[in-house]
Parts: sequence; C-alpha cells; structure tokens
Amino acid sequence: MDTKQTVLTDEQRTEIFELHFSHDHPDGVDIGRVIEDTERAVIAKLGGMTANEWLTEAKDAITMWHYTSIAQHEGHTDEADVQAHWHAVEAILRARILPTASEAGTPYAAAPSAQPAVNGYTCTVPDDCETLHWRGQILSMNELASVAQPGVGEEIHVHIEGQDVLTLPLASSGMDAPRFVVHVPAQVQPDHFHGATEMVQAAAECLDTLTSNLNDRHPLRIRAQRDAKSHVANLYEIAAAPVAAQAQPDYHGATVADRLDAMADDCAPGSQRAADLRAAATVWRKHLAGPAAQPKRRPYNASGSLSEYGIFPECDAAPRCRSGAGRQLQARLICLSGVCGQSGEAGMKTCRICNELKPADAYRGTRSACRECESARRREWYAAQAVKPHQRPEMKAYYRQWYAANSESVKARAVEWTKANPDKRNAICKENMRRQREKLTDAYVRRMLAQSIGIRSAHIPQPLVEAQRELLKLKRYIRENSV
Amino acid sequence: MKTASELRAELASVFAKLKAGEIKHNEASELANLAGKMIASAKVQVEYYALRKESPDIAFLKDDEQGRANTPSHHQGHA
Repeated sequence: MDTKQTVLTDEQRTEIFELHFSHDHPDGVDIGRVIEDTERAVIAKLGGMTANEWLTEAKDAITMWHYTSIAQHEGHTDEADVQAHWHAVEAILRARILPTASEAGTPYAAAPSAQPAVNGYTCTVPDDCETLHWRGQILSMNELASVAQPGVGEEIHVHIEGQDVLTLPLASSGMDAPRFVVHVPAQVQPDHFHGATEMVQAAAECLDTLTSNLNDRHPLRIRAQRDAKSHVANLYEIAAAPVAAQAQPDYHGATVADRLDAMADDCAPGSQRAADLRAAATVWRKHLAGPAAQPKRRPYNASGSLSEYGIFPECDAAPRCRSGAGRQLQARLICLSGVCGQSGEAGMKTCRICNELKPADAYRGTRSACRECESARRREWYAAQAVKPHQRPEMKAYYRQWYAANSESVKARAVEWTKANPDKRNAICKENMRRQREKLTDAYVRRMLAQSIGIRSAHIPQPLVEAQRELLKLKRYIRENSV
Repeated sequence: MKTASELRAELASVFAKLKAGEIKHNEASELANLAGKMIASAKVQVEYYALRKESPDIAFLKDDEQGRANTPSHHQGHA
C-alpha cells in the first residue's frame, strides 16, 4: 500500500496547512503535525491487519503529552482539563503513536500489553497497603492505575503481612512473597477503532470538530484554540467536578443528589423541571446505595504459596462489575484512573461484618460495622439472654437475702419518696391501675372480689378469680359490642 | 357445671362463640348473668368461711384449689 496517499479531503488539508502556521507560536498546538501523523497512522493501519488491537501504551503517552501540553498552554495542571480534553484528542493522539510503533517493528497487538486497559478497580485494597507488585515492578496505587494500566485478569500482589487474601486470579504469579492477590475485574476500556474504517471516520470527525471550532471563532488565532478548549472543558467540568469531588476521601460536602435537590428547590414548585431533578437525585442515591461488587475473602495460608489456592472461578466481582447499567456509574465513581489519584469509592465504606460496600450514612459515626449488622448482632445477643441475670436462681437468692437485710431502709426510703412526691405517686398508681384493669390481672380481679366480699385479696381462692376473670371478659365484650 | 373450672371453661366457650357470631348477644348476656349468680353464691360461701375464720371448704372450688389454694399468682396478665 502506498503510505504516502492521503485519506483526508482537500478542504481538510487546506485547513491543515492554514493551521500549521500556528505551529511556531509559543502557545500554539502543533495541529499540522498531529494531522500528518494521523494520516500516516491511518495508512499504516490500513496496511496492517485490521483485527489488530491498538497499543495500550499509547494511552500513557497521550496522557503525559496532553497533560504537559495543557500545563504549558494554560499555565496550570487542572485535572478536570485533562479529563475534558482527553476524549476530544484521543483519536488523533492514539494514531500519532502508531507510526512510531510500526517503524520500530512492534506488533499492534503485542501480548500482554495488548490486553484492554482498565480504568476502574472493584477490589478493595487494605488501607495500609502502600505498594503493589505488577509484572515484577513495585508500584504505588496511583502509579498502577495511571501508568501501569494492568489488563483484565492480571495479577496484582499486595504486600501486607498478617492479612487474608482478597480475590484470587486464575493463574499463579510465581512470586515468592505475595500475601495478597487482587483480581482486577474492572470495566474494560473500549477500543473504538477495531478497524481502519472506524479509525478514518474518527480521525476525520475529530479534525472536523477541531478545525471548525477554530475557524468559527478566530481563524489561525491562538485565542480561538483556547476558547474552543475552554468551552469543551467547561462542559466536562460541570459534569465531572461533583463526581471528582466526592471521590476525595475527606469530602464532607453535598453530594450530587444534594445538589440536584437544591436545584429542584430553586425551581417553581410542581414544575416538570423540579420533578425531573428530584427523580435524578433519587436515581443517583439509589445507584450509590446499590450493591457493589466485592471481592471474596479467603483465609490467609501461612505457607505463602499461591498454588494451594488453586483455581477460583467464582470471582463474583467481575460479572457484577461488567454487567448492567451500573457499570458506567461505577467506573466514574471508582477513582483510580490516575487523574483523580484517589482510591476507593466516594463516600462508601466496607462493612467489616457483611463485607458489603455501603454509603457512609449506613454507619453509626466512624464504626466499621454498618447499622444493620450492629442491630443484628444486638438482637442475637438479647435473644441469647433468655433468662435475665436477675431471674437466675443464684441471683434470686441474693436479692432475697439482700432485701431481708435492708428491707427497713428500703421501706423508709419509699415512704420518704412518697411524701416528697405525692403527685408522681398518684400518677404511677393510676397508670398501674389502668394497666391492671385493661389486662384483667390477678391483682385487679382479686381486689375487686375482696372489696365485694370484705376479706383480704390474698384469701380469695384462685379458681374463683379465674372464673370471675372470664365473666368480666364476657361482660366487657357484650357491653362493647351491643347495639 | 359443678366446679369453678367447668364454669370458667363454659364462659370461655361462650365468649368464643359470641365472637364467632354463633350465639346472639342476649343469649350470651343471659349466660353471663347466670354465671354471675353462681360466682356470687361462691363468694357468699367464701365470706361465710372468712367470718367464721375457717379455711374454706367449698366443693365448687375444691378440686381446683389443690396446691394453690389461697395463693394468688402475682401480676399475671390475661388478654
């Protein structure tokens, strides 16, 4: 194939040359060269096997290039900007890497780097984990996420002594020391360009967007580039900022749902917009409160060998992570992308008893067990106390003995209290009487019989008491239900 | 109905039937009135023995009193 042929239209090429004038400007973006690289990449792609994957390493280079580029142009390194422009220039920049790789003889789908990259991690890594091993390299969590970009199913070894194992991968790593192995069944970064046709279309669309944005405003002006860039960045920032903020571990502000509610409050009551905002807030909260993929915990085997674990096909984190509508939200909330630089999900916490990921308000204060688990444990404890401590025979004897020794002082205190609190005493007596009358207790029936007969209630035979109770019940029912 | 236990069982049966609608209110009322008379007569007997300062020896209450005569059960609630 002729690698010198062009795949762009004449108009696009004209714009390329026009835009190329900005190349020498200190604030300018080398769009002309990018476009030329794009052309060459497309042609190289057409010349190779279209089934080949695009190189994963390209993404790292793009990230660094773009980050540096914005830092130089804008004078700051706002993470939101990096995220915002990522999608806009991804196609061009990925293509830019290809010719170099092609010239170096690197196959497009070289294993294992050709595995799809992941941008989220469903595993819960212990807080005290500082380093991870991946492909023989010691990396921090952020480095692993932003630079290493492990493929799905790859092993990551977390070194912490005395802990148990999270979820195991399917293959042994061959390393001596690992005590934790974390499976990374996160969302696969989609490759939009599996074929040359898609590549050409994507490149052309990106060029169209880029050039039209520039020309529509101030052609060949650097200022126009900034405007276009900031315009797109603002849109992304509006959407990304709340999520990014909640990803911070020390975040205590309003959640997205709270913001939506606040916006709904500002709307006219009963309006469609207010209803939509309320619904959006509800959906957001529901997603946050939904079950999250959790790794299975396995007891730590002190032998240190991975072989004894065998194969564990029941990794439950992967299917849940990959399927369903919650995937996108999860990928956004799990912020190990290297841009936000934080691990874990925003406002979420794993219960140490049920091992489920739950929102912070499901916990009482800073406790490590969720409210449900605490309540369940409390219920179990109370259920186990079938016989109360004061009902045990030894305690009964103790109380009886104690009362015999202190009855005088107890009675004296009771009399004293009654004199000091006559109103309280009357209220308590009335309440007791009302309860006894309502329940037809022995004491109440006996008292009633004793008053009519004129003897002490203790002398009333029990069968008479029970017969009288039944009679009272019957009379009450007749009185209450008579027409 | 020769004992207080039988009377109690009969009253419970009447109560259940009344709730189920198997007997009418006036019938139940008559039965309750009759049971009241029986209990009142037993009360008179109990009072008689109390005045004589004797332990009650009443056939109507006797068979139920074994082991628990004159010993009230404390604070037993009945719905």
